[in-house]
Amino acid sequence: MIKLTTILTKNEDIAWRKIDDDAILIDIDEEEVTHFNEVGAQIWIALDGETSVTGILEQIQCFFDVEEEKAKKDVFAFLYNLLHREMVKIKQD
Amino acid sequence: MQSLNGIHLMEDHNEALEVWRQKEIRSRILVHVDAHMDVGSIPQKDPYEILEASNISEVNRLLEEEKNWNLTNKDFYSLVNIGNYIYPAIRDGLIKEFWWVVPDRNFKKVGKYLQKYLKKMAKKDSNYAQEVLFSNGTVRGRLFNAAFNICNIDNLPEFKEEILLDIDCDYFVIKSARQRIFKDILEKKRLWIEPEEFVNKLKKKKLKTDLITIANSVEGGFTPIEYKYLGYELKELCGKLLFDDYKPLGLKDNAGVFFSHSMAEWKTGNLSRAGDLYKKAVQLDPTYRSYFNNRGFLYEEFGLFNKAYSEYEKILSLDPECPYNNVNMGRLLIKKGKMDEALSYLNKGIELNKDDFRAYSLLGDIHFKRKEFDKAIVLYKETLNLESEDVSALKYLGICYWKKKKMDQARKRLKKTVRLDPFQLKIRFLLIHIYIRKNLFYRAKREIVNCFKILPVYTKINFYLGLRRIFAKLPQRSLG
Repeated sequence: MIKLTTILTKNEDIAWRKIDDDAILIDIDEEEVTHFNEVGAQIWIALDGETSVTGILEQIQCFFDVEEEKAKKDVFAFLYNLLHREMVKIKQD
Repeated sequence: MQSLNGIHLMEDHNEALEVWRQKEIRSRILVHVDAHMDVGSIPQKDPYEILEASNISEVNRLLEEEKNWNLTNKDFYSLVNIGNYIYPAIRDGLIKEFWWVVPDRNFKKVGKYLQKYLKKMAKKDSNYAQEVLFSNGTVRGRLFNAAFNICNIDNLPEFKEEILLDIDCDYFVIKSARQRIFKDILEKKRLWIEPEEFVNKLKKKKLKTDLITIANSVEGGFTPIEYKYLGYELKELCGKLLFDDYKPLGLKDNAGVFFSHSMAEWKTGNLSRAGDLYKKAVQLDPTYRSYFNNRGFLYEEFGLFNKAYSEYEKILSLDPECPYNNVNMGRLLIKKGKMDEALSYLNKGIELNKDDFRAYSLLGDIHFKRKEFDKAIVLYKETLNLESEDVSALKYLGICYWKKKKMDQARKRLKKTVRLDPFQLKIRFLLIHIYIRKNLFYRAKREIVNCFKILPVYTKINFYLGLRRIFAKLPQRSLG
């Protein structure tokens, strides 16, 4: 369960790089290349093992013109997706 | 005696690549005489190159154009094996022109088949040219910068320069590049062409060579062991291609002759003589003590267990202290359901050779069948310590963990199993089951898609039925 205070960290087996404004991720183990658009890339970069979900939400609202409720809904959906794909791990609940 | 330094005899054909490398071969014509092409594609594109792209359109272009990504975490050369060793030789410029001489006397049908086959290869690996022509008894394509030709011995042209000659003994016992090898060996036990006739054909074509590589290919079951002498005979006969006045020494003291005589004596009922000849063969060449020194494994492959049993029994009575013979018998007895007997043969196999990973894996199978999963796990782990990529041990180790509900450990082994052997349908089912249990629906979906990509239509129906069974067993919450 992801909460506002949760801190997530990237799966260390995934290689990635920011290209243009997007992010490209390569998971050799899963034979998968993933492409995040600029919003996804921003969230991915923010997953540094120190920033909580609240911090990520603040960054997204700062970078993009989006209402708080919409940002919250989208960020949570995105983080759950990452968690289900095992691209991130919960560091602190 | 003339020196035969230019002729290299080997068991596995991929050793030829090492010979060419050591001799610093560059830009030569290769005539490859074999029942198999041995130019399988090796994935070579490093996926991390995608991260080097300067912009997103370049990323998209790379992903669309290139299909040959190496996702194995192994380097290119460690993926070289008997089925692909010519691919790196062509890629690295050792070979400028490749000629595969197939065993088929009638090339018309096999030519069309191979033309289609090469076109298929081009779809998977862009280094094969899309354009493949078939005319005048030769299939012509390209691989990297080299001309890629396929023909039979009669259509092989005369070459103006010295060529590299690369021969596999299975060429002499398998009549067509299209036929299934085991079936072919079981049905056609005789040579379709004598080595002498073959070498004379090359002589007539004024073929000149300074380097000849010859592979026995007995281990693995390609050339029946009674034809292992072919390698030695060819080595002798090919001297004619290197030296005009070369006179072969003959097969007087060759292990193969003793081995063949031993088998012949056995058939006539002279068991003691058969045993003496067998011992002499093994003394001259210890490689005649092998998993493949009888036809048992071929019969086993076709489910002819009684015939396999009498083969194993025969070779065991000739050489009861051979670890391989004991392990072969143990494996067959497991298939026949005689676990206690199997156990004693396998234990003897390990006693004679404690590093035999097959024996540990088979002992694991016995405990697995008896539902003694903890014992089976220990034995499969021992197998994997000796041979980390043994698919059977990995598979059953994964299933043991699955049975013990240790899903993470099961998943790790089962994933490696399908990576090594993508056609393990039951294992893919188990993986889907594990993913769903762990609520990893995305992974489950991907696994289902992977299955559909690789399976033929009739299997897809079974697959669908299998999925229905899995879903029926799941609690409702997991279906959400």
